[in-house]
Amino acid sequence: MSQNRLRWIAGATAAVSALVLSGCTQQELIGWLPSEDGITNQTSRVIGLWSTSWIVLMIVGIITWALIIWAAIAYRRRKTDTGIPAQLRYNTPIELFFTIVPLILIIGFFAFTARDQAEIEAKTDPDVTIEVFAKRWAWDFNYISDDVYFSGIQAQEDENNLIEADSLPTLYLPVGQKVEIILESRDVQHSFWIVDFLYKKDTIPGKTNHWYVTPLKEGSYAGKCAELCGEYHSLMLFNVEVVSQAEYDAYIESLRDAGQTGRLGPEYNVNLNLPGTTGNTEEG
Amino acid sequence: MTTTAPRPSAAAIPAGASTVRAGKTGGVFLDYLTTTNHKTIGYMYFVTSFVYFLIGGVMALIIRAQLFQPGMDLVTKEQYNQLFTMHGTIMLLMFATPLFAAFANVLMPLQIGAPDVAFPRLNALAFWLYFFGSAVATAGFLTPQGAASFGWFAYTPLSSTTFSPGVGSNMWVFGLGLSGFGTIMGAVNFITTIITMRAPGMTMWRMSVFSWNTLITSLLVIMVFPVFAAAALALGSDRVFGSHVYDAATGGGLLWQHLFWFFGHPEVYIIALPFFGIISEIIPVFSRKPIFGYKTLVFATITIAALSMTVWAHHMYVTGSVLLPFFALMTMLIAVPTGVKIFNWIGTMWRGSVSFETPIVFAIGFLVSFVFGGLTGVILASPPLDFHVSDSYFVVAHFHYVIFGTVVFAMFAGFYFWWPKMTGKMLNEKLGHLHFWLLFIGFHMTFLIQHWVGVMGMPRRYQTYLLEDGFTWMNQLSTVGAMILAVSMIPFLFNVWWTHRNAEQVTVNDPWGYGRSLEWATSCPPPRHNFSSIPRIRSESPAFDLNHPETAPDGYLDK
Amino acid sequence: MKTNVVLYAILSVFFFAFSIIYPVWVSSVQGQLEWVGTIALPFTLAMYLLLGGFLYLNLRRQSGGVLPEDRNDADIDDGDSEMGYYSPWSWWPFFAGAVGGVAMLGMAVGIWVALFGLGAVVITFLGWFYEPVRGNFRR
Repeated sequence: MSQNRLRWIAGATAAVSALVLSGCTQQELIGWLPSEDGITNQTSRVIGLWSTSWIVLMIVGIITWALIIWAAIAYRRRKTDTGIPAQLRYNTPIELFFTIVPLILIIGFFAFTARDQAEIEAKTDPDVTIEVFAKRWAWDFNYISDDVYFSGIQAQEDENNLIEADSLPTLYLPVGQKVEIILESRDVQHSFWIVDFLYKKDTIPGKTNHWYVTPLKEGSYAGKCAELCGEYHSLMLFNVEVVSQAEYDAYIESLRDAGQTGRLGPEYNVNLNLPGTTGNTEEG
Repeated sequence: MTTTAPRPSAAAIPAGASTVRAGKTGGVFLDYLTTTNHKTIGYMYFVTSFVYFLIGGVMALIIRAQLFQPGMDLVTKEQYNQLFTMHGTIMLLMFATPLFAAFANVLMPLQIGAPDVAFPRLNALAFWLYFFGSAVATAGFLTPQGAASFGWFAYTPLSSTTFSPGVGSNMWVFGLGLSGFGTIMGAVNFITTIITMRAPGMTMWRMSVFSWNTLITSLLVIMVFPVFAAAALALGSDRVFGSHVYDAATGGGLLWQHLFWFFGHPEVYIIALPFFGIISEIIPVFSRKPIFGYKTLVFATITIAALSMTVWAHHMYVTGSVLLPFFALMTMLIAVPTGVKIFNWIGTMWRGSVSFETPIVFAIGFLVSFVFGGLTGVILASPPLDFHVSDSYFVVAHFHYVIFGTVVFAMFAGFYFWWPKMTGKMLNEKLGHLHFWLLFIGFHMTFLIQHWVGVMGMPRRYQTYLLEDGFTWMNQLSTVGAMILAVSMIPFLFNVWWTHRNAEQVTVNDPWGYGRSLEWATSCPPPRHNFSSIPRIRSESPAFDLNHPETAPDGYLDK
Repeated sequence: MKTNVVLYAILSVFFFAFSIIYPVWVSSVQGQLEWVGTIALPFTLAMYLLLGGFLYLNLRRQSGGVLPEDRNDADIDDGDSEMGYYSPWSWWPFFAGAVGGVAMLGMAVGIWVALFGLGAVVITFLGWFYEPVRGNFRR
């Protein structure tokens, strides 16, 4: 392809992309993630990786689709065609090209991924520790640092079978504090997903998981169970309220006043066949 | 020296005749029960797996109807769990995997010039184990507590008797164990046939791409189905004998996940690779060019199969227990050989002479859909991105794009392409195009929007969702798409029936005109032992060389 | 034959490499082994050594000769005219499959059913293996 033609194409692409991207809404620019920069200390990183990855992938995708459509149109057999085209079986330079270029893209993607996942999973020294017990089909929140607890029940459905949004258990988090969330399960596998925080982690019976996060923006956020746990999996919803330190302290006090001091620990777990117990079926 | 030689055993038997009936009573039905003919066994696999496809499809329609709006209450939550569990189980293990066995049984011996497979009775056994095993697993619906409801991946402890006490769950476990044995036997048969029964001159590097993919898929099967059978039977032992293999306190939850996904990930490549092979057969025929980059295509397939054994824990990123960098790197690497295959297919059409009969229209539909599924797969390979979208509808959308896009589009492409070879009649082209467009539109309407609804926070396996979530319009669009997808089956089924009743018999070996591989050098349908004579084999396109000797390799016409 | 041997040799090298890389990497990062991968990958290696090794021994026994299906210049009548014996039809696969189904159903619903199935499995196995020796298909 001549230099002029290449320059023309590059210029046109840049112009079109500028036009298209300037018309994008805020939502589109972050790839429709239900979040924003600065909701937690992790969201900017995830949004950045997500949108950049999508832009690169869509470029690859558009080139591939263009090639497919072009081949189908330009090389179609016209009604007047007879005979057979040249029986080309291979072209080593092109085959090397479309092996090496994706390999380079992948290695780049992996480098950014490895960096981001190390940051997100990194242990920190927490200011606040909260222990979450997942159970069929709700959540227990033990505010370990304050020695109070909250025991949730599953979402309630009204007479039209619609879920009542105000019946969900709520987890309170203090804004700007480093929070360690300890994840446990009382029975089967569940998954603790705070949608707007762009993160989830499974709760696995017999194993303790940890999540280190700093919420940075006050607000209400939705939480859902994301691992099939039985009949009421769809009702195992919760709310997260990120509040100022004062409100958080007030909430803790309200739990204390209600007598919910202490910790609902593993003594409430369903029989998990711990060593020393008998099997759970008598008929054998 | 002559270029062909008659095969003594098949010369006297006319095309399409049933097996020799030495002293045997009974009619057509008993012929099917006792057949050892790889083609007939293949047809039985086709019919059974297609019936399961329709059953699984009906379940999907009920699921999508339930999700039409919040609080729909079409089915109870427990019934809903049974529906998606059996939908996944049926589609993956009773439709897609046996469909591989169907195509491989019918085509591979023909394509390598063999009279049958290496172990014909074992071949039949593999089918009957699939038939009865799947029947046992699906019959869970007939029990009082219903079928298994713990998801097709059956995570423990949810799948233990504590949390899933019904006998339907037992039947799921043991039925799939049996069916898995059938798959293993089929794979052993295919590998042996390819290694030992190729026709003279049919070197490994002249085999059709579909036969190569059959070999590689069968290797994958014998690597991982035993692991699944062992894991499932151990679960069965926990359930029935009270053993403690998967006890939560001793790490049972993660043990099951690792075992299952060590099988589960290669399983999806077992499902995909044969259909990549079908596409690799169809595109060259309708582009009138050989497959572009045959050797790199084969190397890419081997690389995909090998790498697929090292990526299983990318299904477990959010458990917090797996080595993220290792699995992320290996998963991302699989994108490279997959991309190579896509570019090889495009390269086959490039500077070809492409006509748009129904098979290649479905093949192009596959290409377009699969590319997008592959892109979302790269996103999912990255743990920081997967933490958000794991177990959401984004994953559901991804795997339907790759699995449905590959299996269903390539299945129909293969049906329209090989229908004359199998039955002696050509399916109607107009109905075929109608079928394609309804399927294409319905498929994309159903699954494209699911990427958005998943990213926005809808988890998978939810029977209902909050009105306030704002997912309703997206689910409604998806449900309407699913109905269109269902309607697309009608032109196909009508086409099959109408062709059977009214279409003309095909009289030539190669009705498409530009067939390349060896099955197009025998009659439609082939005789009992496949060939009355085999042409000389000097390239990967022996039938094409026979019909177009001017394009054959040098020395083709020499004595 | 040689292509197959090379294929399984390459796969053996691949799985050998990962049988070492995976356990070493996992244990150095997580402090303990991940047992499923650590055992399954070497077993896969063993499978390819078995398959490739057997074919290699066969290849060696050919002492330089090449089978007709591996020769680039072979003609169809270079091959054996007789491929071997194919049973034209057989009842045993259907019955073996059916009783396998009964046995598995029994494991699921009640052991007494499985015991019937087990007995029937023994009978069908014996029938299958003795088929070329008895009755209709006696050779």
